[in-house]
Amino acid sequence: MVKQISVFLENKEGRLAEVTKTIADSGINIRAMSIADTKDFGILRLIVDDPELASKVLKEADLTVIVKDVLAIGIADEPGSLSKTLACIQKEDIEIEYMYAFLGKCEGKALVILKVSDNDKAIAALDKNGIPVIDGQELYNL
Amino acid sequence: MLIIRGVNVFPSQIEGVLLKIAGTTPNYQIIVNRVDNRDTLEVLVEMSPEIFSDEVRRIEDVERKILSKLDTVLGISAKVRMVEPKTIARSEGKAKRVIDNRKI
Repeated sequence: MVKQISVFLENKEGRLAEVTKTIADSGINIRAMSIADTKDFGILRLIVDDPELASKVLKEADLTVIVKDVLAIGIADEPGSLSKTLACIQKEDIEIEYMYAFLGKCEGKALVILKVSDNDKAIAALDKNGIPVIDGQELYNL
Repeated sequence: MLIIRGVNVFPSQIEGVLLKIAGTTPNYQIIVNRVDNRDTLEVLVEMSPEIFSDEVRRIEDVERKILSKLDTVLGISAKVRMVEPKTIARSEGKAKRVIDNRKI
């Protein structure tokens, strides 16, 4: 599993630039990110090369931060492979809370981050269907 | 005490609602305005790790809970807005709890 950092942001001009600068100033590299936004606030979700340090510096910058385990999977970079993957998760009655794609590839595979209702169950389902779940350490070091 | 739309509102009532839902008392601020001759009540709540989530719907759930509880306790409707920590102005270390912008 991979550590994902979520940060609460008010929907204000320049906020994202400030937060990414905090991360940049600590020499942390962002591996993947997604933003969920509403009218008043946003949730910035980050996969970085050093989750512990990132969480520390963001907290020191007075931000609300939580760290959660999410799944990173590698799927074939061809039409239909994502829909096949999602179908095998859905078959096991696992809910996908959200997902986003990764910047870059790992061993020729396209990378996807998944937040599901039950990590262990999802790993078992993916395993059964031959879809590799990528280890956190491997991902941070990409 | 504030009188909003003819109803007595005590900041401690609002604090009680926030304590109940957030588990701890978050920093908050009560903003009263008058729009088109009608009082409006807005409560700003600083986001804390206890109520934060990586999922939008969970944060919106918290907002809804605060709203409905405020409605029950105060008897008037309010607006709730989650803000980032340390964004509510403090004077002498204490947050200014009430900002009443009404000109009567």
